[in-house]
Amino acid sequence: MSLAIESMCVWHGSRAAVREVTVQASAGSIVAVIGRNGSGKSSLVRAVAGVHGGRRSGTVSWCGRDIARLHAVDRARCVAYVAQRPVVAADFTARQVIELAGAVIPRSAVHVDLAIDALGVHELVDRPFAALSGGEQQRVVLARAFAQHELGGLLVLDEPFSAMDLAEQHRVAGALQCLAGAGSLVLIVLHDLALADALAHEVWWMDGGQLRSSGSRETVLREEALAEGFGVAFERVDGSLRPIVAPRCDPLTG
Amino acid sequence: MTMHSVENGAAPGSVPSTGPTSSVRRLGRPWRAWSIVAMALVAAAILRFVLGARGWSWPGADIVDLRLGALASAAVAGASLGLAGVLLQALLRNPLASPFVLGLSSGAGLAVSIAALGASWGAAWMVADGGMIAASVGSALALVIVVAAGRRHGAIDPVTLLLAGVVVASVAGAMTVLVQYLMPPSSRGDLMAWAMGRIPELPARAPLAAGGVLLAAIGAWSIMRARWLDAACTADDEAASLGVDLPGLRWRLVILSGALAGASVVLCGPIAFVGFVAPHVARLLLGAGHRGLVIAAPILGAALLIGADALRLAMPLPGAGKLPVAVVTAILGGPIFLWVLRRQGGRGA
Repeated sequence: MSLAIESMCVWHGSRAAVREVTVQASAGSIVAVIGRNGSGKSSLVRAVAGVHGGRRSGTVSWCGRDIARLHAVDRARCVAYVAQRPVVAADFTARQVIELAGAVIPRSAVHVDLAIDALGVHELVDRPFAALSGGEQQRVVLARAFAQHELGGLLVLDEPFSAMDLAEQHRVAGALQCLAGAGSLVLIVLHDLALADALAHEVWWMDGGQLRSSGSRETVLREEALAEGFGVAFERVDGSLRPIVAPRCDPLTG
Repeated sequence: MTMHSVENGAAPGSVPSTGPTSSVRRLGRPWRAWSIVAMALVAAAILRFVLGARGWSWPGADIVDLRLGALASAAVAGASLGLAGVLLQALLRNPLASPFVLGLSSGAGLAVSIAALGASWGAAWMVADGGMIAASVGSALALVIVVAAGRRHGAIDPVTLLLAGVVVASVAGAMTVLVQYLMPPSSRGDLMAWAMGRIPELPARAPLAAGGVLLAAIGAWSIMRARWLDAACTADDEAASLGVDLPGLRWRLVILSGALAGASVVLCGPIAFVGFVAPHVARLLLGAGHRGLVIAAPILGAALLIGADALRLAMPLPGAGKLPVAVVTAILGGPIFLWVLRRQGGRGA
């Protein structure tokens, strides 16, 4: 199974946020989408998830089916999506938010309980969602996506780690690796390049609405290319399994 | 699907139902909440049944029909407002929304005023079918205008819809004042009485039956789509990813809530706060899940309007007679609105 994006263009009003992106990815892997602010990362993954409400062109096919042409219910069965900022405009508890996975498509209490286990949110489920911290809310919304997700399906995450502490990031990263190991494709927008290097099998680098480069992390996350693209010096530092790329922190002068 | 399923090799099945929500679990005894809902309706109905224009009395054979007529009118109108409130609050993702933010009552008020002016019907028109037809046409026209103006790129946009409703209500309200200014002073009192709500004791059968059928049909649809309404409380893209056809759902919500609000205006005139308070009391008792809300809010709406009608009969103002029912609902609903507003503000919502 694979994801194929062909000549994807996405507009916000008259502005083209994504231009002529063509790229593929295989199931059973984690793909990190990186790039500077406004480079079109979120627009691209929203179009891939089939939730971009505006004008777009090109095709996104998953297992040979065009996601944009699927009915909302059929799409929900094969693609789960987590937005950059979770919004829940009701006094739901965390469990009720996770249970939204089965609001339209059939999902049992077993799915919900397994997702709660995977994300380690047992202690949160009876608390009001609005009272949780940003990182806790992100884990709860991820649990909802996990409960919705079918093994071997597509999971699209837009900056899921942005409010999480390191322990939460570690737990979620492990859960995502398990999903990829079981045959799912995880498409994840990340600003933390060290995390992208540690977690992803492949990297798509968006720049100015276009795909600047794509491929294995070793070929995309090169220090000199990143320095040119982000305007920051990078170096390789020791990781738990292998050296990973990280921004170099030069000592302050003066 | 999850780490455990990966480790255990457990493939997710397709078992419907997500089990009881945690709000119900937290309450521990959902039957207690449902008992309160049912008792509220029964208590209000009994109270109204034994209260007449001349105070407490068990109705004789000659006035049983009057009291049952008032009960039926208030029940259908109140339940319609309660359900319309739930649907509209889900549509606008705003617990402070009420069915009349769409400007329907103002549109109906303008149409009724124009009818009264044009036909010079006098006092009898208020309970006649002519007033109801005018109210139906006025609220339907207001709904059409608001929906036409509340679209963006062909789809219903909640914020645009809300603003369109405010504008239509303001314009229709101003035009109503103009029409009333042109009316003979003797007719203005009747119009003012209509504008403050009136529960008819001898309701016209056809509108009452139509209102009841509409309520039952939309109630059944709402029960079937309650979980969609839950999902619609998330952001647009997340709701879409959960499988909700959001544009289609919004069209249905605006039309159905508009039809319910319009039916209540036709039956009893514009009655404020019932459509706002009933969903909130239902939320306090049963939690935010729409499975409970779409059943409890109409029941509580009916109880509230029947109770308000009973209250105005029980407490006449010295020298001024009976209070209009919309004044009673406003006196009860206003403080609740402010309390909810403060509660929302306190959470930063």
